Formats: sequence, C-alpha cells, structure tokens
Amino acid sequence: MQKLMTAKVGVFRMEDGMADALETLRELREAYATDLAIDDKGRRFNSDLLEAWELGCLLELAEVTAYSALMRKESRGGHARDDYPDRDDEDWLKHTLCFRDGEDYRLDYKPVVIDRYQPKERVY
Amino acid sequence: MEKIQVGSGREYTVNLRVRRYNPEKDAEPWWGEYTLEGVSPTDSVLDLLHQVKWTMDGSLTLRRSCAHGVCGSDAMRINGANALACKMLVARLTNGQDPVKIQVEPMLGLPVLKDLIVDMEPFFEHYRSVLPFFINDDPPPQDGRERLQSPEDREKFDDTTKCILCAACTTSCPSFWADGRYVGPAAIVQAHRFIYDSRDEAYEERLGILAEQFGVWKCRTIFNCTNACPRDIEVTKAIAEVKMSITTGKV
Repeated sequence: MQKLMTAKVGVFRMEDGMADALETLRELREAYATDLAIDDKGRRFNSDLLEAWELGCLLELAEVTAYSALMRKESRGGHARDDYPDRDDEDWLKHTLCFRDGEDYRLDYKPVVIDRYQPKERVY
Repeated sequence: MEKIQVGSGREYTVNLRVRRYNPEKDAEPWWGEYTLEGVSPTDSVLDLLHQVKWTMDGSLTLRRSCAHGVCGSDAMRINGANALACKMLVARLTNGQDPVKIQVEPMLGLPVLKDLIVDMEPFFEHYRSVLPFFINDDPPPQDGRERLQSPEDREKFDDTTKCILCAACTTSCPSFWADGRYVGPAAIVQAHRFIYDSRDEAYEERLGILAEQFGVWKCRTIFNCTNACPRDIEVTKAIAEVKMSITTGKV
C-alpha cells in the first residue's frame, strides 16, 4: 500500500495511475480481510497488533484518497494532476466528502466558505 | 566512515543482532539474529528493523514515529553508541566489512519494558523537575505585541532549543548509569534553554534546582552526551555554562 500510494497517488498524479491504484487497493482490502496473521500474541506493547489495526484504517483512507483524487479533474495545492494542470474554480471550488456505501464509496461535495482570503492564482 | 555513494547500486549483507526481551515470556534477555540481504548503504538502521518486523518477526517491538530524525522516538544503542535508528545509515556502520555487523540494544540506564522500548518515565520526571516552561508573570507589553528579544540574546540559548528529548544523551552518561537520581544532561539542556532566555524570569529558581546534590555537579565532563546527541547540541558546553552561572551567579 505504501509503495503503491507513493508511486501512483503521490503529489503528481494521473488518471491511469490512480485507476490502477484503486483496483489494487480493492484487492488489498480483500487480502486484509482473509489473509491477515499476527505474530505477536502478547498483551504488552503489542505494536504488531496495533500496526495491523492501523493498516486496516489506512487501506480504507487510501481508497478514499485515491477515489476522491481520481474524480477531482483539476489541480489544486498538493493535488497536482498532470492530465489537468490548471485549477478550475468553476467546477471544483468545493470540498470533497466521501461516504461508505456498503462495499463502495460514494462522493458528495459541499461549498467552501470564503471570508477573509479570496482565492487567487498561484504565481510562484 | 565510508563515503556514501547514492545510486551506486552497492548492496551489503547485514548480520543484525537485536537485544530482545519480552517479560511476558522471557526469563531473561536474548539476542535475536537476523541476516538481511541487498541492504543499501543509504538504508537506515530503522529500515533494517522495519524489515525484520515486517518480513521476519512481527513481535519485534520498538518505538518510532516520524522516521526522519525529528520526533526523537527511536533513540537506541547501535554498535555500542547511542543514536537515532532513523538517522544512522548503514554506510556509517560498515567498518569496511561485508557482511556488515550491526548490534542494536535498548538505551542503558532506564528499565526495559519490551525489546527496544524502555520506560521513559524516570527521564521525563527529571525533565519536569527543572521547570521546562516559560515563566514570566509580568503583564504582556501594552502594545499587545510579543515580548521582544535581541538577536544576540536569542543566540545565547539557540543551541539548546534544538533538543527533541530523545534521551540519547542522558542514557549515554556514566554518571546517570551510576545513579539514576542524577537529573541528567537532557534535563540540564532543557533548563539551559530557559535560564538564558532574556524573556524568562525564573533562572534563579532553576539554578537553585540544578545546584542540588543530583544537579549539574554530578556531571564529570565525560562528553558522552555531546557525542550521542543526534541534533549536534554541544551538551557538555551547555552544562558547563550552567555550572558557571551557579558559581558566579551571572547568567
């Protein structure tokens, strides 16, 4: 998961890579549910157990990240799409919300509240 | 020390020995021995420990968080000297040999809880004893801005602001090993950071605390702390400055 996310859902990302990543993440999610084993059976400082639990949470978040980023067809801040290099305030000046929907994820959006700082183009 | 050639493709075999102890099942500590192949000279000791934990024995237990020398979680004894596992690269440990021998143990002088994890509470108790926080009961400046300080005054304690409380210094100190009641270099570094801050007003109280029996005078200027510090703080020098202030009353 770590290698996959670094390679395909890093700061600079593309449609194909993220679609691949989503597919692999689904496989990893399934493997997590069926193939997981824990070496450390102890009760003291069991970081093996803790990391296994964290991995489950991270796999979920990785899917949320990849899916949300795949759908956001623009570049903004740390989300730099090589296939959509420009910011698109008309369609994408909005927060992404992601919900669990059975085995899938559903996206929704909510408007950004802008009070003090007006968005402007980054020129540096 | 070997020059690190990034991208040279050089790979080493590492014979890693790790001090293991799980009080739930081990009557006494033992050495875990692991052979790692294809190790790059730019791999850190933390990378090696991760490789063991993730591919060989998940029960190996250690603390780490940022993995980049900032959080101070993974100080340990590596080939006999304290260091952060995340900052110590294999290139610095090859000793011209392949296979490379690397030995990892928990820090000395604090009780081992499991494998490389020690009980940090005695360390933090000493830390708390020196009042490691800003004390100034005067009202803030009338103009509502911050308390000002000249660059020269800021410079006096610049070095000691770098401390990340990893405990590498305190657990490398023979005086601390000999008597755990010694407040230790890390706590003195933290006290130094406030004693020499012109905006702080409690230097007399802190100097009083460090003039006690288990304060700075337990330091015998051994310099292990300075050598151990992963942030290159001149720890022994900071302790000497505090000793000087206690003797002369000047800060």
